[in-house]
Amino acid sequence: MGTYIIQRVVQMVPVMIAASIISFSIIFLLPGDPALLILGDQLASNREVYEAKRTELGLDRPLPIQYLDWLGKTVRGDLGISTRDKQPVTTGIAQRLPVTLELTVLAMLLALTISLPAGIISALRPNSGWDIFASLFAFGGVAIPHFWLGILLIYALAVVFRILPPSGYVPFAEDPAQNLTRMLMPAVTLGLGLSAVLMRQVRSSLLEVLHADYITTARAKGLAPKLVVMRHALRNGLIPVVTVIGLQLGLLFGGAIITESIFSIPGIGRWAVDSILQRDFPVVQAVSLVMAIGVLTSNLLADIAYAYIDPRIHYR
Amino acid sequence: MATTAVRAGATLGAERQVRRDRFGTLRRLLRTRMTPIALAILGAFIFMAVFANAIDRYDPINFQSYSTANQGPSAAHWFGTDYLGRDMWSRLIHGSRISLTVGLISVGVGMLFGVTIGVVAGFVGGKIDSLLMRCTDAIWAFPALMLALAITSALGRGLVNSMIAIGIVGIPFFARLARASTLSTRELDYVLAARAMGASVPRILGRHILPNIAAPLIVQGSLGLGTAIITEASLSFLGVGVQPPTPSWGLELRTGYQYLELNPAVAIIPGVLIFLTVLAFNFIGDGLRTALDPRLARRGGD
Amino acid sequence: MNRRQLIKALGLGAATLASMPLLQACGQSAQAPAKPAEPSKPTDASKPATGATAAPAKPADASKPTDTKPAAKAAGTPKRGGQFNVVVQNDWVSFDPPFNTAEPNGSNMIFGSWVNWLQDAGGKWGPQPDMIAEWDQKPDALTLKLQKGAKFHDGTPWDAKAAKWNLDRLIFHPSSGLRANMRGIDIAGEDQSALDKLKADPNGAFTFSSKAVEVTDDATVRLRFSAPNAAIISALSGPNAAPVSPEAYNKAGKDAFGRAPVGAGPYRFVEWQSGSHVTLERNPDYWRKGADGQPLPYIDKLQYRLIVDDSVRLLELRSGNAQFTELIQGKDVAGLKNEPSITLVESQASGNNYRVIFDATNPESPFRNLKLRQAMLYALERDAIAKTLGFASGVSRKYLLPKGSLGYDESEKVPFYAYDKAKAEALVKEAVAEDKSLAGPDGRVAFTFSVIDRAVDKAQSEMIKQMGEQVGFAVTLETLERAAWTAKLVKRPGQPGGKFDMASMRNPVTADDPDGQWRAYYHSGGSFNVAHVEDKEWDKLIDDAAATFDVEKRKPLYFDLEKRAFEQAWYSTLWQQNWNWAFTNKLASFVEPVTNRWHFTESWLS
Repeated sequence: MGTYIIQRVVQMVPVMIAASIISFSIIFLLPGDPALLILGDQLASNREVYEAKRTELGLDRPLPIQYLDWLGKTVRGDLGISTRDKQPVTTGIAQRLPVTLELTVLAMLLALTISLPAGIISALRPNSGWDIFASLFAFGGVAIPHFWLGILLIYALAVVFRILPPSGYVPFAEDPAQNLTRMLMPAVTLGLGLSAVLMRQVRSSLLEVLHADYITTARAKGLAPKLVVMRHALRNGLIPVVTVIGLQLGLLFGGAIITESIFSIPGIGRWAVDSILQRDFPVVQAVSLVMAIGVLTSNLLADIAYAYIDPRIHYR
Repeated sequence: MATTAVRAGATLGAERQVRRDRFGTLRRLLRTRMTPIALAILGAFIFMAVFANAIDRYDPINFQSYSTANQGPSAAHWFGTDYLGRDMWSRLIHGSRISLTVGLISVGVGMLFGVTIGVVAGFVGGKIDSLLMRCTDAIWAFPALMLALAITSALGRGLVNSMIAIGIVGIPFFARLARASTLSTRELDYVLAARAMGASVPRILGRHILPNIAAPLIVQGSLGLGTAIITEASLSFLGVGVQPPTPSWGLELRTGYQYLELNPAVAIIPGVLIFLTVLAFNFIGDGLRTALDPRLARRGGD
Repeated sequence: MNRRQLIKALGLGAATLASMPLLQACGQSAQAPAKPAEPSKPTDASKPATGATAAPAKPADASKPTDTKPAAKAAGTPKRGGQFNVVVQNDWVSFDPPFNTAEPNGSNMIFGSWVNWLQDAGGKWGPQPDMIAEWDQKPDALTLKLQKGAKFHDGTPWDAKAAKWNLDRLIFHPSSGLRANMRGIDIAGEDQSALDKLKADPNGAFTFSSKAVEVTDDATVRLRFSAPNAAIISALSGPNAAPVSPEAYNKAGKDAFGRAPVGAGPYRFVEWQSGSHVTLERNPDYWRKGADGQPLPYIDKLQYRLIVDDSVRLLELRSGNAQFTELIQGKDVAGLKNEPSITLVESQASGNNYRVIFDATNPESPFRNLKLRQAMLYALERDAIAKTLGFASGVSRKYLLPKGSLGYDESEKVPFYAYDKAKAEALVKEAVAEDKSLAGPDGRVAFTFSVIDRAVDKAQSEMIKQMGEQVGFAVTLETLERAAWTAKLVKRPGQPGGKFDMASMRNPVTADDPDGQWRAYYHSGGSFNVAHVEDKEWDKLIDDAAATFDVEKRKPLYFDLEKRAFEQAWYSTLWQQNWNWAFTNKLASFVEPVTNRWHFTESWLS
């Protein structure tokens, strides 16, 4: 088991390096001059000041050197200063990442709450009315563009019925009730698509397990059906679901981008969009790297969890 | 020589026996519950796209009169009007062209490059496989929308660039798929036999590998079309995709969001269209999976 | 059909569909606008807004401004306490006034102002004392008597030394956003080596001490002028001029101070969470007293929250989560007026002007040709644009100066570009006949129209594109983020950029002295002269007007500027959306500010 983990981590390293190269290079694709943006219009018209800034930022050195320089600083925790508000990027991340994480976790919890029971019932009663309904939900949930869902929710709940506040964020520490009320619509928006995918996954893997030989044996032995389901089927059937969850975390990050924009939530996703659009280079580099690492880590954790739960792997 | 081939063929032949009747695949496709409905929906959208000029009622790009702006659905304007007084029905019909085109081309781009990378990686193996897969994994690590956003910001906003961006973002997906299929196909008896016989690489690829990976690719391609359409709508929603005055479903949703209180129809209808299209693609993809996968076909379930 | 055939069929179908865009492209050039287009009905010129207010206070000779309090809607006895939530549209860049290149967004509550530009009891706009109690302006010197009893939030006193330090910083700091406005000050005799030192290290403590600004006694400073500047008081009333605590700045350094400002205003800075909100709390030692004899302000806490999206801001206001916002879009104004719990105040004196700019200095642009510029301006139907985008709050505009400003006078019959499609078409034909290179192979004049990525700007660009295409242009729309748009338009030595064809922009216009705006946008040395205008005659008119104290002599100079603007057609104002503020009925004593220099000092929550 330990060797497996180490193996996977080692495999991840070159991917992380490649991802860091991509993060670093994005800004050179984007039109716009970092020195110009940091200095602002007036100062930059002064040739000397401009050149001095370029040297200070190291923009006159060859690209590979700039990359290594950036990488070195990043590893040491210095992610640079935002060109827009002159704040260290690490502070910005520290403020925003927890918000996105909260949103993601809430969305995930919501998705699990819906998909687990729905999927299990569907698998136990295939082709019933409930199953058809759930299948439709599964298909539909994946097909809804989630920003449209967000707009619909805002319209219905905040404009027409005025039950929920349409946007904004209140830190949990400050006011838990307000925090959760404001996070409700965004979490639903983000989590619905996920719950659809998960439900299908739960259903299909449970179905597969329920038809397996050892379940038939257990039933033949006379074990009560419920016991059969609980003890055997669920345990084995949920293995692939764990992997799917891990993989979907990456998609959740992506979905958070638009959800945060619609609901004005100050998280990392929205920060990424704003920074890309406004050419805030250090932030773009740092945030894209953070997101990539987040996705890779969640994949890694999913793999490890899978290896842990699935007894067949132990003996590999 | 012939015996080996026959023996190899026999393994697959047993599978093929099951579907000897000519219309088997198609029949199975249609038998999957929702597929006929999905095909009908898709057919309607394709009809809309192809005959847009014939069935629109007003000019979709040039506004008529500012006094008719922001109206809800009515007899004169079936889907209402937008903020410049343009007829939404006409705009959305022309928008279907954009959506379908974007879907097809971006999936095409993604498939083309992705499959090439995946097949090469799977077939050649070794260090090249490692290198290619690390690179695609690295691209895969970034959230799709963010990467697409960065690429369109780099290349410039607009339709063509968003197609390129969405295509690039889809490459790892197809690459992985192609590689996995290639790996499993590569080890089949008759392929090994062909290689032993000295068949050239292009021949092996063309005659053996590609046809066998075609099935999962088509299934994923169909599902990928849905994702591509949603991604394009997301990019347009953020403002970096299709630019006005070109109509696109995502763009209409963006303005609908801004005029939500004045004219909610504009926020709701394009979303319905996107939803139906993607739903149709998903159902068809699922149906194709059932139809084309021999294992599932035998078990008859899912 | 077996599997192979099915796959082939799908492939064929996909290929057919993928070739759709080609078919479409072929189809489009053959497809003339076939659908019947109702001609747009031009509406009557909207009635001019009432109550256009004043010229700035005449500073002629020794002027003691009347010591009237700003006009306020008195509404009962003030109540103390409460938190007031404001939602703002633009993110903050820095809270240090001269270095803030973004919207001030109410930062004036932290600093106060040298003078506030507010309405007096009679409704006339003009400077009101704030950090300066009295001023005396002569052509060669400006004497400022400081407000007594004011202290910075860190306890340091507001005295002549602090005032001089602030003025020196405004005039001499290399990054100061106000340098151009501090014209005419006698800087000839300054210490060059000290200035060089300042240039070399602009981010550290500010220690430069000038000769032009003198401390005459503990509470008086005097600026020496070598050339008259009639607009200096107006410049000092701006949010970029506000005085800050010298000690706090020197301790923290430029960047850190911008994130933790210390001023002398009615509210202290508490925190700024980037991209989210800013919190201010009441300054208990504020020098001004309220009706109950205790120090102002009445409201305990101000919180400014950032919500970029217009619709969401509106929702927040309606639901009561926020109590104040501004710049409600035209389309939402009618709905808001019907909202029982919300008050909407529309300004007659401030607004957002939408204007178009040509790059006449770009040798590759068709707009190097005057006739084409004129043609484009004749082709624009301003009323239609104003009505469609601004609804009832949009008013079309003829001139560069806003209505009610000094130098705006309809009776003067200064020429303007009225909508004339036939004339526009004729001008295009003439221009192309004289110079074949202006048109493309299809006979149309092609250009790119660059706009900022904002909803109204984009909708406007679609309308302008269509209007241009009706008279013989071929317009390509280019939407850019603000940073990219600025990079494209603004010229920098040794940098690409600074070349465009036509662009649109939006800027606030106010009731204060017109020099501020003329200088920034239109003067060759202006910080935002994006049309790259370098016209000596033009500059001279602006400078002369700024140096003329006599209002009657100033007016004709501005008329001349408008006439020249008409002749040269470098830019044109299309329409104006009146500034508005929307707030909860619970807010008492709302004082109408100049645009977003919100003035909550005398307001309370009932």
